[in-house]
Amino acid sequence: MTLDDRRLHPLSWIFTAAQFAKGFIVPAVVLLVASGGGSGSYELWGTLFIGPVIAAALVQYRVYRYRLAADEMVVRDGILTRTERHIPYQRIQNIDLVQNPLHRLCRVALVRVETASGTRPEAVMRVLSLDAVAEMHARVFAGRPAAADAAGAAEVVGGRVGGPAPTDAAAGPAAGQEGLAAVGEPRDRLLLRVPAGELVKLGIVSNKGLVVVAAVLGLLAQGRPDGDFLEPVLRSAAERLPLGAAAEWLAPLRTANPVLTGVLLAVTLVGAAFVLLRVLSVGWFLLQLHGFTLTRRGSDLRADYGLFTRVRRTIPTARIQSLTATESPLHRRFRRQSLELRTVGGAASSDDDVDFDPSSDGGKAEGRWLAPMVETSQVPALLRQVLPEVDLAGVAWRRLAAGARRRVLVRGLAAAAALTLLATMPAGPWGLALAPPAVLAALLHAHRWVAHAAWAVTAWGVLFRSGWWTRKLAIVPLARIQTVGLVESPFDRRHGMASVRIDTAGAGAGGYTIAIPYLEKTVAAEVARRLYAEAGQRAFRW
Amino acid sequence: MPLEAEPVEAAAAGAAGPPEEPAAPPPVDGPPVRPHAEPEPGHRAVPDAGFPDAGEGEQALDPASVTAARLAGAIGVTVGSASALAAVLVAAVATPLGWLAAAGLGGVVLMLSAAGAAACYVWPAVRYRHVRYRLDAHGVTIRRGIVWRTVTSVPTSRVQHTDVSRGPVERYFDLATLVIHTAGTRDASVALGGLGHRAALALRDRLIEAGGGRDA
Repeated sequence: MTLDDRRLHPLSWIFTAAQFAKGFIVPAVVLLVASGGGSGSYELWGTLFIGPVIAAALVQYRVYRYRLAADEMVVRDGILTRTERHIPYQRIQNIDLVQNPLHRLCRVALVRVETASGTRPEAVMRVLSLDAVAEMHARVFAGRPAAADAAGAAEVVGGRVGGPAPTDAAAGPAAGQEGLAAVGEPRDRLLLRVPAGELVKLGIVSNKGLVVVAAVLGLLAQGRPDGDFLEPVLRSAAERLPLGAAAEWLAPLRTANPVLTGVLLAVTLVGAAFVLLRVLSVGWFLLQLHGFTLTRRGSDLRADYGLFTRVRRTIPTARIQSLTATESPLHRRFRRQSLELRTVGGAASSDDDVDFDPSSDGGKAEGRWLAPMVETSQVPALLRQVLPEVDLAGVAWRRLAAGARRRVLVRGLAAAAALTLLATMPAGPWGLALAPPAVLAALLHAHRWVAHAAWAVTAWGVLFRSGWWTRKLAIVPLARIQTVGLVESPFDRRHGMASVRIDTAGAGAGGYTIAIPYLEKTVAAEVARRLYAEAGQRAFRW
Repeated sequence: MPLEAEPVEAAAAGAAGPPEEPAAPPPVDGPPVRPHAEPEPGHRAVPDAGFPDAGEGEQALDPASVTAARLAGAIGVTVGSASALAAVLVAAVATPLGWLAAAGLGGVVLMLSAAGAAACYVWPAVRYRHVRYRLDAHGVTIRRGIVWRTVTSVPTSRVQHTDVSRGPVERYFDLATLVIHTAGTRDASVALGGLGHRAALALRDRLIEAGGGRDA
């Protein structure tokens, strides 16, 4: 117990108790409502649950201490088993802040300190006052070379997208975030802000609506352990909807042309579902990414977002492992792209952080945004702001091997044959009708896919462009390559080809960050050898 | 040392069960014996010279790793078939399953064991011929695979830490497995088994020495 020891904010027990309670509050409430419990039993059960929870939270407040030493943070925790954790400032990947409305009311924030180890944050401080947060920021990031990239700073701020021109860096993003803005410093430089109009577009291009639906279904399922939860919901919905009137209205049409009616009905339903999903998606992004701003301060990036629950992520640029630009057909229609970044610490942490989030997945997915929506023409400038060495203009793109199209086509035809065969099982010979469109699709896919795929190895990194419907551009700086693999499948062997794959830290469950298939064998071997040598010459710093 | 004793027991059990005869290697009462059917593996020409980058400066695994893998396979097959046979026996005694059906099942188990034993005999030698590693100025490169061939290159500067692990069979044959840990995701750990113990330690020292001294 030295003098430097700090405690959490005095009100932190409230948030700790809320967190403890959250685990069973939803099932408990649903159970109470479902059982229609006698009015008297509320209080009894309430005290029975809440009492110990508050006691535990108070004890937690008593035992949790942290200290900001000269070059490390020391966190002590534990009631019976005491742990003392030393986190050197050098190893801290990022410090994230989360503020839900209650946090904002109390002028506190939930703080997550992340290092590269594992998927869990190194320390979760629930909660700290904003002054304490500012102090921690100052101490942890004090040793960082702030002027490391003054060259990059001299360039034009190109990332601004649509909307009203922001005054300048220090001008905090939209309303409702004065809390976090107070922590900011005047030297911040705004790289990008995403106004509501852009978020609407983002909602339209993405499928987030499904997440909302899944979250709602999950919530409903908690009430009914037997899993039979949909039926009462659907039944009550069906009772309320004017289905009878609709059926009456449709009756003459149905007698006249039953097939057409069925088709029309199906189209209407599918269309309605589609529209509903997109509306939910728009709502999701307006809620989650409200007032998204990306600012740069020294060598750190900062992303602020969220309507009710404000999140501030601090990402040192040195921690960026890879960048991805995504462009779906709708993105192209709007002339926009979505940019994501991968770091080591942040990607997989957040089941317990965003307290009032409709879905537990919220922070996880949103945490990877570099720019949820940015004008395609601004992408190179924005990327250069983030990583000065990334220069998309000077990239000499190279194609896949000459035989690549035929191999993609053979694969597609095999898939088409399998699909047709599957279709003939229930449909009999009629299933064969699927063959022509499937073959056409395979032809189109092979042609377009190979036409769009391209790769490049530049003086600063590896790039791979893939996909033709939804297009992706993956970028890995040379210094971020961990291992280089050269793979030769039996099919590759027959065609004299091989693929190159590159592993980085924080690549996620999706597999290798970049895997370039269908290269000529000699080219692939040369690329693998070169990347291996280049990566070996550069030190990897966490 | 119970761990040291394990191969002995298992091999003895293998000798007792008829299907394991072909696979049970004879190293129990002497130093590891290289199977006579196998030509000197270290001197064989690199079999897949067509694959880019083959040859130069590459090293094969320790030849004893073939025998070790065969022994490990034999132990596995013995334990597996013995427990399967025991289950069949129990089923024959304790359930309405007739003795005839039990005998049939036992036959199936024996046939599967024989196939497994044959595979455990052939496979290690084939695999041995397809694994090569090379240490150069940048790091270590491991080539392996028979049908799907991969060459994995780990720059020394990306080595986070290394493990040298030795199981009972590996200890008996003086072998070791070198596990190279990187900060990568899919290749977070790259394991190279079947190295001689000395070779593994030397490789580890080279990797750590070259990578050491660097820090953020």
